[in-house]
Amino acid sequence: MIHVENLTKNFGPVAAVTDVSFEVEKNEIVGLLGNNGAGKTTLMRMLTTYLPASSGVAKVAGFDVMTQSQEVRKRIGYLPESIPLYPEMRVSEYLDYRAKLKGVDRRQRPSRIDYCLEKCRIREVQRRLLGTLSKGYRQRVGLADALVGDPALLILDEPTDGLDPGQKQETLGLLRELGQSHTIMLSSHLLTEVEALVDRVLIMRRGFLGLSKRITELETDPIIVIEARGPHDAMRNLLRSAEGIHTLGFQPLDDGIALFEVRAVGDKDLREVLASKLMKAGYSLRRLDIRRRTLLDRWNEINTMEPVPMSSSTDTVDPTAVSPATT
Amino acid sequence: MASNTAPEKQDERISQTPYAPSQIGEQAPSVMREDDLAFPRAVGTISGAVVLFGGMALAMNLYGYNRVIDTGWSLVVLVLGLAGLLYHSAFDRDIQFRRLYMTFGLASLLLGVVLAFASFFKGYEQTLPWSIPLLMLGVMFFLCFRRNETDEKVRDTVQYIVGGAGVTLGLAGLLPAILYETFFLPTGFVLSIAGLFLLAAYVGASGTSDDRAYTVSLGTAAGGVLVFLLVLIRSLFTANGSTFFVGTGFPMLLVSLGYVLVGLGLALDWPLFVLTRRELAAFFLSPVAYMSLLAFSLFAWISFLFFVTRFQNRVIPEPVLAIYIIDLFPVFVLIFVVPVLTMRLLSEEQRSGTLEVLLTAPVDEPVVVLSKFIAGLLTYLIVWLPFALILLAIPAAGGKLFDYRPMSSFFIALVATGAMFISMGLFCSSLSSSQISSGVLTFVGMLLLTFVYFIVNQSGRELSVILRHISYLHTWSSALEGRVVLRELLFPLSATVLFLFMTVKVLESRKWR
Repeated sequence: MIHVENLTKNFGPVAAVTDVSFEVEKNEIVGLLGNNGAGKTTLMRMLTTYLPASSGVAKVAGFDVMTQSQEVRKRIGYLPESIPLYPEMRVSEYLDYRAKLKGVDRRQRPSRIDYCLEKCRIREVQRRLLGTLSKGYRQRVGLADALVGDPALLILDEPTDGLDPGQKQETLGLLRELGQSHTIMLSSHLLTEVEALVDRVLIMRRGFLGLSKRITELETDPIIVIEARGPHDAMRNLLRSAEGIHTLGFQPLDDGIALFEVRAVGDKDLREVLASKLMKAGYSLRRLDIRRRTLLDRWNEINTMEPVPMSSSTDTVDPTAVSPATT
Repeated sequence: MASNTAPEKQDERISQTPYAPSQIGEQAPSVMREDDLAFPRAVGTISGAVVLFGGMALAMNLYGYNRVIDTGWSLVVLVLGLAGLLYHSAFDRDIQFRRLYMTFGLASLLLGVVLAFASFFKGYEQTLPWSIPLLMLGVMFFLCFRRNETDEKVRDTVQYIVGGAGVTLGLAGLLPAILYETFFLPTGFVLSIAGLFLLAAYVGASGTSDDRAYTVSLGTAAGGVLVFLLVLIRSLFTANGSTFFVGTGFPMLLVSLGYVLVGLGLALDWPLFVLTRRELAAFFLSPVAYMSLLAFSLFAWISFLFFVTRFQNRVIPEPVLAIYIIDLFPVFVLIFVVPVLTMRLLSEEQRSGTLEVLLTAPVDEPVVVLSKFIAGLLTYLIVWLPFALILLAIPAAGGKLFDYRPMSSFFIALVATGAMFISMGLFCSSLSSSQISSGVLTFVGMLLLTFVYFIVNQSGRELSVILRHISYLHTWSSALEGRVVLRELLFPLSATVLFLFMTVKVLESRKWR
């Protein structure tokens, strides 16, 4: 549905988005994460054809956002970050106007608008002026506007921002429901909510794409944490000799205890192998643990690393490049 | 409020997902109270009394009994009372009141139609001026009633009556005029404009997602096209066609064009039409249009007073229109009104960010610019209406008709120069996201264009020939003498195209910045 290749955007000397590549499949829900100013909004604006890229290619539903922007615009629904609305219009008037602009057929229009009013739970405010709505209601009107043309791709810039907890739940529930028949790309700061909702995560940092993975792939490359007592060098060599070790991190703790962080090649669980090796050699084991990396770990890894350009166009990122904890 | 069952359905469906929403259903953000009707009802009661009083005073004046309150004041009282009744009828949903006002509206509508047709017959020509306010009153009461009525059958019936009256008036106003050229002004003109208003009210009341309203709207446009062609044929291919065109044909062309534009404008959902409707609504939903109208009305009135006192007891030489329009006040207001109308157009969209929403919908930049331009130009022309209305008062004050035909040529010049002003303002508005700075830019532009008029008179021969083309006041004055000189319209029209082109480029410039 979305195909992005080496996309770059510079505003004069400011590199807002640098060399970003990823791929999103049909009916996938994608979470775009990143600090403020990481380039999320700029990336979304390029995908919605509002801003052109400085270089690189972006395609939505097979249409180039630069050269076939009208075709792209017919297929997207966009919720901008600040939800700009015309204050003098009423909610239902606004949706009617947007539906006409997006070419919703005359006969289907009332039922389509009704659907959006119901789904976004704004039926009760449909006669209110847009200028008098609170932040949460503006957000929902913006979402209804994005939905009204029944687009294949929804691009939502922080759709849950400014909503109260109940509304957040409702909106996420709605997005999950829509995700069965729509492709959705949303940006957010709320890692836990994104983790529960999305199929794929993109994490941006300072314009670079740090991570692009399916959420099911996130828990791969577990880290085995071992604390053992003994001569440090001997233990290190012993662990290193085990089969399937990818990287080995080492840190001496107090009173002769050594902390090891082991990462295996692939998704192997090496806990038992490593433990029996140490025990056989006579070293006492104080802690044996496996840490499956959560989205928060990934987030922290990416946001503490040196900004290295990720030029690979595949959607898996070499794990060694983003691991500060290993040596 | 609108539906009590739908939110419950939604709950059932969503609760299957892990994110179960609250089971309460949708709640309005605030507690909604029923409208407090005490004030509208009080207004309604008082207004009813006032209407009775004004009506009686008027009737007594017409039959020559009353000397305390003269006709003018009794009309003022009557209008005030009717305004109060309209206010009441817009808010009171009570069945007795809304049906009462429905009857009242229908009665005045029917009376208006009857009086309009009565003016066909000899000896009853005086009834025509009375039919216009009655028809307008009928339409307004209809719109209030349409808002409050809950019984669909009654609502639709009344709506058909309004639509039917519109069709009848439109046909009766336009068709006979093709054969009898003296019919169109003023009778046919009044009938066809009233018919257009009724048709627009009919279509606007139910919206074009309704099949019948859609058909009526397209039918209006088709009728306009038909009349347009008939008038063209009559003017071009029959004997004395050219005299027909000057007196009757040209205004008929304009009216039929109005039918086409209103019909298509309401029916079609092309982005250009959708956007133009929104821009027009934005003008009339904010105080901008009303403030400009007020300014123009005030200055039209002052200008009229000056005009009358200046020429008191003297013969005014023709062209009377030129002396009236090319004056300090109209030009003075114009310089201020143009920036007020245009400064918001693009600046506000850029400031509030709505431009981003607009330009990610499937519309092109040229369509956006063109729609704003058309809406601005239409508002500009509407703002001139007070001047046109006061023109009616000049023969009344002078006791003599003047040559009104230059109005046609002046209209053409007004549209051409107005297009230049509005496109200039639109261009200035695209340059900045601050309304003030774009307003000031437009103001300076208007001043420059106006000062050219004075420079022409001061400069040498060659220069003045060139500057005459730029000076819109020169274009106006030659149009007011009844001439339509194409080469004088060339400068404003090409300036319009240039400004619109540059505006589109400014909007597109975000792509290569």
